[in-house]
Amino acid sequence: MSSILMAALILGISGLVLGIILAVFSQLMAVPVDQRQADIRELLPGANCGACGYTTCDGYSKVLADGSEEQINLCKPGGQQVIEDLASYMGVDASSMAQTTAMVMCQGNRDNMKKRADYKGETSCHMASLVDGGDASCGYGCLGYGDCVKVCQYDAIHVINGLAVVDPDKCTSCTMCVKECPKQIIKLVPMDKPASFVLCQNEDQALVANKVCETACISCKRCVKACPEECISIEHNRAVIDYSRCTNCGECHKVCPKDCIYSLYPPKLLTEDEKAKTRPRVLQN
Amino acid sequence: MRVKLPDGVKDQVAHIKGGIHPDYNKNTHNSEPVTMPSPKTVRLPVSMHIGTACEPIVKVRDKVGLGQVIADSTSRISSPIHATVSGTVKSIREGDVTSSGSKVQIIEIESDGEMRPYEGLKVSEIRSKEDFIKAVRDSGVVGLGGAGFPTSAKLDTPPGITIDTLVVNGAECEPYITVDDYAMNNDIEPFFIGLTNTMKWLNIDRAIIGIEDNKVEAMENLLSYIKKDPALDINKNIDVVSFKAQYPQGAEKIIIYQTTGRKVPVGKLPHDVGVLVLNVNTLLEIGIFISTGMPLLTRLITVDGSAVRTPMNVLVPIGTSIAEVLDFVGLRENPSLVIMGGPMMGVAVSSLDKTIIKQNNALLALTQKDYSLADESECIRCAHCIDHCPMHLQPTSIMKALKKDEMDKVMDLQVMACIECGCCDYVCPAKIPLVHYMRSAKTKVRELGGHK
Repeated sequence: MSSILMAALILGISGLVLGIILAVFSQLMAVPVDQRQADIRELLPGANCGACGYTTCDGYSKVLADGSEEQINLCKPGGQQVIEDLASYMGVDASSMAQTTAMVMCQGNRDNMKKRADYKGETSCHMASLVDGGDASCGYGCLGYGDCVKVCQYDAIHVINGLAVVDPDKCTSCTMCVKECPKQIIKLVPMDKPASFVLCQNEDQALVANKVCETACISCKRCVKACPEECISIEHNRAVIDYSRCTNCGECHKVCPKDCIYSLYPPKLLTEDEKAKTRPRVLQN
Repeated sequence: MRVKLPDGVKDQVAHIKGGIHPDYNKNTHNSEPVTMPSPKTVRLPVSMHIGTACEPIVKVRDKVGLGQVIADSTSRISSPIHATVSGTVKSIREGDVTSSGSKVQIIEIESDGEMRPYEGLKVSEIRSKEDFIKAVRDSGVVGLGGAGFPTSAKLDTPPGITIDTLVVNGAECEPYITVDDYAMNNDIEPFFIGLTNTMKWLNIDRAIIGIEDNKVEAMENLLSYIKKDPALDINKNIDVVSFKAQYPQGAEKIIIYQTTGRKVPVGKLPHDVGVLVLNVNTLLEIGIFISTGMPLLTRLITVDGSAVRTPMNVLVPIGTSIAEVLDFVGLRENPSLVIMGGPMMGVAVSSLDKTIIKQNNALLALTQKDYSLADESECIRCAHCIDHCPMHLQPTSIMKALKKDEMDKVMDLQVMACIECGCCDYVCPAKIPLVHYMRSAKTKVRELGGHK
């Protein structure tokens, strides 16, 4: 009986002593925590996407706290809400951020673009693109194996019928998919002002482009001639729209023979019938 | 079992770990090459080598002669492109080259059927090392074993580096291919012109011709030629070294280890250990250019595979489309897979419209009989891939780390030492395409700025 008491006593005393030592040293050797940084870190969304230019949310909160970074509008996933939170916490004016969304600049789904070979192996765009640039007949188009889907933390991108499609409502412009895409066909496009986009990255000459995909830009220049703002040009055998000058009038949509011009907001000049057609086929389902 | 080797052949100094013994299928061994008639049109990509792509220096509708330079670059790591037929430039447009998928300009030349040599072709006078390197560059020769690295850039070593040994790669360890074997049996004279000139102008004392022991005939022919020619025999500094017939003996780092015992560190080049490795055909083409002034215009390629009616070695003008070559050779049935290069390291082509480029040495038209595309299953941890890896890597661990996106671990496992020989793939009972994972891992590491 006495031995068990002894054991309990020894354990109790040593526990007490060690506890006191720990308590003392935790005070003596405490690492100073920047409360400001911890608070700012709480305000950030925690996606660690790197869209701000710093490696993680911790990194961005650190530079904001120590004052080496003054811009509070760098967090793309956080959007306007985080800017306002940061502004009120830090006591500065809330600046606005240009609203953007990622967009897959390709309409080559299984109906529009056929495969030119059978690819067998890991279902990854990066790995498929190592074999002769991928199995898509268009050398510039979406491979549809969903590397972008794997990196998206907001469930904003899905592969529908062999083509990655971004949901602009969910997209936070964190640019993870933009960095991941081996074909580099995902771009950030403005969302706060209506504009039209050319959903094609094919740089082949028209003869080839026409063969590889039904919705490839064939650089026919009809949109260039139709544009009243003169903001469309042909670069590398495909039409490129200057978003800053585009008024989303819809003239280019009407003349495009390949239906590869798209707008998030149906252009005002189109008739009801034509409006129904403006949302490209791939985005309707 | 070791083969009886001819007298005078030296044995390898070191043995590699791993490797495999695939079916060699050298059906075209010593068969007389068939010359393909010059095609009506050739399509020549401006980049048939590793390095900077050339710029076209001819215009559409220009008349060109056989061997005329039609594209060139000022970059050191580049190689000029020559017209392989005489005729008219029909078009210059963008297209894709085999294996890389990247777009380059392709010059299409319509043949006039005359094969009229370009007037400017002449035998270049060589008086110094610089002259020799310039001549090699003018010849348009790239690494003809398959790598396609511009040979002139390889010879032009950075200052402070001395090369003491020239290793001639005559291993030809890939199944099917017999073009190096043919060169060593039949084109010995120009081959030795290339070899002796390289040794003379680069001041290299010793040359080692490395050959697998399944090519005894080639060893005998080379040795008797060396004995016959007093200039070659006198210093006894050209050795013929035999090593075990096994794949991948012809990989650069491995042939250096087997013939000299030196190890090339990861991320370093052979010249860092004082060795220069050149393929038999590369030296042969250098020899032809030095003696005749004719640049690299045709390639001897092995056309084989079960879809081909008679396997043969064909002399093809560079720029001929694959479809035309297969038509010429004759197909027994429609191939389900066409590979450019050997079965181990070659690349499946996505379209028969692509053309034969400088570094192609084989064209395989295979049917379902020759290969299996079984579905990948889970790794059973048998470690066969680790046992057979000649570079002492752990392919399965690299694959698992890559799948979990643990790039630090992938780099720690030294993926950059991988030579993509395909032994791991070949032995894997779970049919995991390990080389494909290695390639993916290597490109990702390069993107992250790891070892170059």
